[in-house]
Amino acid sequence: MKKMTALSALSAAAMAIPSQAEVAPTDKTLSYRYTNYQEADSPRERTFTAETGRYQIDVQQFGYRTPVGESWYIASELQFESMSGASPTQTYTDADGKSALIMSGASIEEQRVDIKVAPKKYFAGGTAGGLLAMSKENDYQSLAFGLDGTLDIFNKHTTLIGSFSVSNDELSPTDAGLSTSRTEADGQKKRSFSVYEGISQVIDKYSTLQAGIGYTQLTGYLSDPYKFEDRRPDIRDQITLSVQHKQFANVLDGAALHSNYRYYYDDWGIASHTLDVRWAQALNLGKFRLIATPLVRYYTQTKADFYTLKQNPADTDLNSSDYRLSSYGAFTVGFNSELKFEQWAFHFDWQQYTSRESFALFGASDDEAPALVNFSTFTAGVDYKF
Amino acid sequence: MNFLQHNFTAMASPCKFILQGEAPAIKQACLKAEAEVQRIEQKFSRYRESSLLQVINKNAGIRSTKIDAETAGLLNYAQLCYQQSDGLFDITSGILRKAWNFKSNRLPREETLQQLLPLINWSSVQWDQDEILLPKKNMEIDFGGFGKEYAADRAAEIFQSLGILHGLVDLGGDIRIIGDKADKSGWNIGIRDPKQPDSAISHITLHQGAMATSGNYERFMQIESQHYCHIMKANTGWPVNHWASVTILAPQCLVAGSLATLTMLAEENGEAWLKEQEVPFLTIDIKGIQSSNL
Repeated sequence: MKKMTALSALSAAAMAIPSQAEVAPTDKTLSYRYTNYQEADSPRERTFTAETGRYQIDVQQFGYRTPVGESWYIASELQFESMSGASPTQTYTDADGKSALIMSGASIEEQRVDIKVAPKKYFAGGTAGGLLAMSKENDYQSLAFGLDGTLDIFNKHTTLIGSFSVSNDELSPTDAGLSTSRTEADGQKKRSFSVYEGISQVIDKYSTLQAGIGYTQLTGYLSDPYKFEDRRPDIRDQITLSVQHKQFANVLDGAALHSNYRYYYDDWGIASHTLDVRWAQALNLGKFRLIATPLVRYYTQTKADFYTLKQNPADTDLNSSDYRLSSYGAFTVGFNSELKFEQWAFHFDWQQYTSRESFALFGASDDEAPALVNFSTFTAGVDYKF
Repeated sequence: MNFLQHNFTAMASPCKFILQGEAPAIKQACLKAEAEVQRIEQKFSRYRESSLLQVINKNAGIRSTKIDAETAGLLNYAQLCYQQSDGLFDITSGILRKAWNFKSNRLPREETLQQLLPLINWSSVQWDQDEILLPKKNMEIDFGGFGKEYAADRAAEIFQSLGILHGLVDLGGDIRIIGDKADKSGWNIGIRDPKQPDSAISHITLHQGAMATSGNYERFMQIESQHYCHIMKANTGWPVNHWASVTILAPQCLVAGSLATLTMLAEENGEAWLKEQEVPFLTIDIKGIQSSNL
């Protein structure tokens, strides 16, 4: 074997100099997003009344991110949501053995305000951040607090990621006297506690892999006071395992393939799988740089143990006909785009979500859940860096 | 595609980026790349009050200084240069500037040199990935031997990460290619004539990688027809005097620059050593004789 030359030794040492530690961003950014979320109408042949229109949500989001001092960065966000439309109150199997849907009247008109502040400190070998979030609508308020951190090891080829958060919510249903469930729920609390541990590994120049495990515990009043016959356990333990892979490719002006898989399990009997694949393609178009990202997602879950379509279950039984607790599968297709021009970035995103019982991969039941929703979202936004 | 040039001054040298592409994207990229060069200069400048290097040097003989991974990486690199040159390349040798004043046209007194030599000793420096301690008061380190080349690499990487495909970074003659010209014809780069540094003695076409030159014409004085340049041997405190210039091509500017300096330091043994490295080179000795495998 040839002895190692100075050239190869120096080249190796030069390549081992870590590019700067994760650097605190130096730009201030102002951003605005408008999102419209529109649920498709319920099938009229299944609804009890003529009310078939479902939720529509308009979201306006204002963001401001700024460096503070040499190594701090603070991101803040203010969000206004206005919701209108009707939501399913109960699904049950009627005398003919067909499932029918009761919708709430179109009375729901709500506003919600969210405020989030997230400071982050950048160190040579990692970051440490916090999150404070408050959300208020007329029948619900929520306060959340979180901490997160990253630590770079092995010459920054490996990053350990950890986070922790708690939230405390309080319910105050509108027209609390209208039903026993609303009366019961008034003033009730809902708490959550979450931890996440993850590891991100640089595989080579072109790919990274991240894996993580998360645990969340929800306690308190977890039923939905606006639904009929909705009685859920007052504790829910949730575990998620996730893997994300990113592969860069020299296609046109640069591209990356993101593949994510997530497994979820909880002690209500729900297990789910999510597979998410997106292709981010950069294109230089004269003075503009476009990043176009088509995406597809498949989701499937099994039903909760206490999900039934009984019209009049015993009051002592746990019960819910919430379609989100049924077994179903869902496909999302979408297209995100970002157009950069000097200090500006314009965003246009669109997604279409379609869910069916028959899309479920595991534990599909014959119970139809006509409340299963299809929706589309459209987002337009702009960022300005200065 | 049209060419755009961005000129600025950094590290006491005229610097330029030459790029091909659309102006707005390039202008923004230039500002970011220039900011990266300035960042490196500020962090590692020997002259700037608050630079990390100043702090390390002020703490000499007193206490150790915390360093980050980038600095540790550069120290590790300096260590390797020290080993490869059998101690001739030593980042503690910058203190010799106290004896050598090239504007004075006067040679330093031998006793001044003898006072400084005990302060030049990289192997006595205690350092690891997290901290560094210069063991004696008045000891100094500096990255002048490769800081500019390192900055050229980093600037080029900024352009690459921003999607700039065609261009080059030139920091005072240290060149790093960002990417070939759009028509793939290569960048035509002149190699300075040591006797007339404003004109080129040879030209070379580069499609990728880097080129760096170490020359005896950058700072020097001529006393009694003897040439004294700024590249000093750490063991004697006296300038090298065999090569007029050494030009090296390598994938990274940092590596090209160090190989060139190491060759200068090796003096008459430099050519044989260089041939062992199997890198493209062009050397000119003080008699003006060229040797090249380009």
